[in-house]
Amino acid sequence: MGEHFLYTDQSSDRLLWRRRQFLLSLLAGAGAVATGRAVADVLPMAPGGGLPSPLAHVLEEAPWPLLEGVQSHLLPTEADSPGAAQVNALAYLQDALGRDDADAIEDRKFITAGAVFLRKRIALDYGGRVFEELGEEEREAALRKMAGSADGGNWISLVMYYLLEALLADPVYGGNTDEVGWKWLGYTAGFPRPPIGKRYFEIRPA
Amino acid sequence: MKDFDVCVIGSGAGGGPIAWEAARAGRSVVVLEKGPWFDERDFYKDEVTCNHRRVFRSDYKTEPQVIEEPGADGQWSALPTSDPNSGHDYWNGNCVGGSSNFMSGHFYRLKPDDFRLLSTFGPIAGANIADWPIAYEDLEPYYTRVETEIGISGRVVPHKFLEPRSTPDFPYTPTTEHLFAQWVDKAAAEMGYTPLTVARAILTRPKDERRPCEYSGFCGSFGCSSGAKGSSRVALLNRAVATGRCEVRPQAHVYRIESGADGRATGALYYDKDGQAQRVDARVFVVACQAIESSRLLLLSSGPKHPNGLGNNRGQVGRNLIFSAGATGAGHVLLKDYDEATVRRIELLGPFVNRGLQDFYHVDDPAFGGRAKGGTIAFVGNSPSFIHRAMPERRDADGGLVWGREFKRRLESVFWNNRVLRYEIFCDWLPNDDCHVALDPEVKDKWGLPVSRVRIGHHPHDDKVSQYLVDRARPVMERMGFRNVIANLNGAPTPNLQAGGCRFGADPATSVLDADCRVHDCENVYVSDGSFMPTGGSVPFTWTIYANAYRVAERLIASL
Repeated sequence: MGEHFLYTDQSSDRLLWRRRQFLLSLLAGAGAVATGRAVADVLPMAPGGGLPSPLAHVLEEAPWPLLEGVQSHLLPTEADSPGAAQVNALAYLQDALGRDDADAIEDRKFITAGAVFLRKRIALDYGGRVFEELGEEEREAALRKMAGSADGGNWISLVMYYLLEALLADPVYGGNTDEVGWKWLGYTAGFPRPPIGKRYFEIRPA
Repeated sequence: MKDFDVCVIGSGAGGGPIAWEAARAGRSVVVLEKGPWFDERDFYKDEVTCNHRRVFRSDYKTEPQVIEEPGADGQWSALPTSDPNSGHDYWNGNCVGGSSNFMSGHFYRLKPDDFRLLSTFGPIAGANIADWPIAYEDLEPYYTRVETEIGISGRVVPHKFLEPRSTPDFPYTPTTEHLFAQWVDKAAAEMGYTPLTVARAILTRPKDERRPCEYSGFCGSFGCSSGAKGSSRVALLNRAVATGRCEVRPQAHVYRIESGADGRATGALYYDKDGQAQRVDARVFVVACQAIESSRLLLLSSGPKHPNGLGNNRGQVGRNLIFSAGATGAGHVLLKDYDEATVRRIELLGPFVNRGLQDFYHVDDPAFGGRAKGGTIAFVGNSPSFIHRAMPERRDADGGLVWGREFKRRLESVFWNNRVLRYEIFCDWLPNDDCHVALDPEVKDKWGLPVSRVRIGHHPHDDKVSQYLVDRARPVMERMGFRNVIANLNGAPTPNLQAGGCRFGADPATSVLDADCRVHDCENVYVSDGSFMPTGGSVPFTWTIYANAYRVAERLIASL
């Protein structure tokens, strides 16, 4: 890693941050197919913009079954390599999005809005069915359609980003169960590894 | 009676030497640092914390900066970094010790001609190149001091651009090296170049309370868990505090330096961790907030004799901001092409590559267009961060999304079959009228203060030099056996390497600071981070910031 490394690393993060433009245009699209609930309705904010954790509202209202199905499609389980289910990806996502930091707040709005949109889209395209009821080819077609717009592609890209965290982050964060992701891809952990009490949301001063 | 002799604002490489030297000299010091005070007990090899969350950097949502970029129509477009469409972020380490906690510590001295770029190479149209008011010889003793005080490991290799040294070699032997270092040595020698061992601000034996490098493999952008990395915090501030004469106040965001009717600074106003306004007075104030924010603080600090900001009566504060120009690139080898013993050495995590070439520090080539300042080629190990490395595999060469089994095969290919070596090019970022810092007229941060508005225009000459060096780096990579050697050359600034904005010089009409880095119109305020640099050399300049801060400390203490 050289002195330019910090920069290149940040610019990779930026690929994620650029997706937020998706939010408004996506909601405009959702409005065209359904009642067009505002984000604020979907995700009530705590007073002052802070978020309670754990996020009761999100856990109740976000379309988690759909997201779980999408995760399993994007990172399928195979005989000799882990999929979303093996790395505890859904719980990882819920935990990450429930944290009270700028990225989590943005990402939570974005992922939820995209999932709500996809649910409505699928209901229209597949006669009222839900993603979880679709066959593999139908799921693939629905997601390819979603990826067909820049906005939808950014949404899938972000869902995949959190899948990669669940797959490859230190297991102290709740994903990568028994280091199954690391073992699969041959990762050598750096030491010292983060203990409980020193995770990103624990070392930040209040 | 003042509260303190010296008030240092910012605790990174520019602030640390002042605090330590002043405390060592028996002076009372307060260091006001915006960020929290982390130490080794908080630094783990945790990619999520260090690469993917806002733990060690300021929050771009509540503390945005506005970035002006050239648009396709030739107009400048401005967006706050908090905007979804912004691709920028100029925050680095926001904690005690600043970004020196997270540097990878590739340390280079500038060379004598870097102090007189204008005299040596002449003017370039559209560039505000200026000679420094001091010479290399003036800074040399402090470069040497940093080697022992911060702890720099390395090995002097004679070559035609080796800067003069007052000692024969580094006080710490080089770090353990990766097999790729041998490959660089072999290929470079075969091509008639001189491979250099790049010095590192990394201890290879214990010093004070600091342990030597533990070769975790996770260095740049990670805090150091052993104390080997020469951060301002561990190498200087801890010692300053131990004297009993230096107080470090974390989470103290200075928003204004107050000045009186005579123009002298009288107090530093800051918000504490509870958002309460506080004030410290001192005999001398030192600004070291990293270049962009140092200019901003001066601009925010208007007073009776400084109506346009402290030291800005001639409109110079914020002008001639510079970064490090250059490029990054990489290539990979396929493990299947090597025997088992070699593969084991290639895969070894921990040892450093630490190699550079400075054969082209000056260019004298008709193909380039004659004599010119060139730069440095550095060969560096790839990031060990798995999530970071996996992210690009979501998209194919055309930018289309890849998922499912195909995505998994791509991950396997990257992590099972390939190993990457990166190279980086460093050359002068020519100072110009389209690279500067001002206060944004509209956007405010969470304290209600105007944020920095940064224009990031670069000179086309930088691209030409960068391309010339890329064209010389790639054949070396290919000779080593690396495939698909790519270059990323886009003129984008290096957010972690910032300088200028308050350049030093003899003429107050064209500079903010005098040769001692004291504000021309305000005799008890100094700026001691990289802001002083009229030009940045063709190397990362952290060592120069440390060395100059030691020099400024000496002048400042003598003035008390």
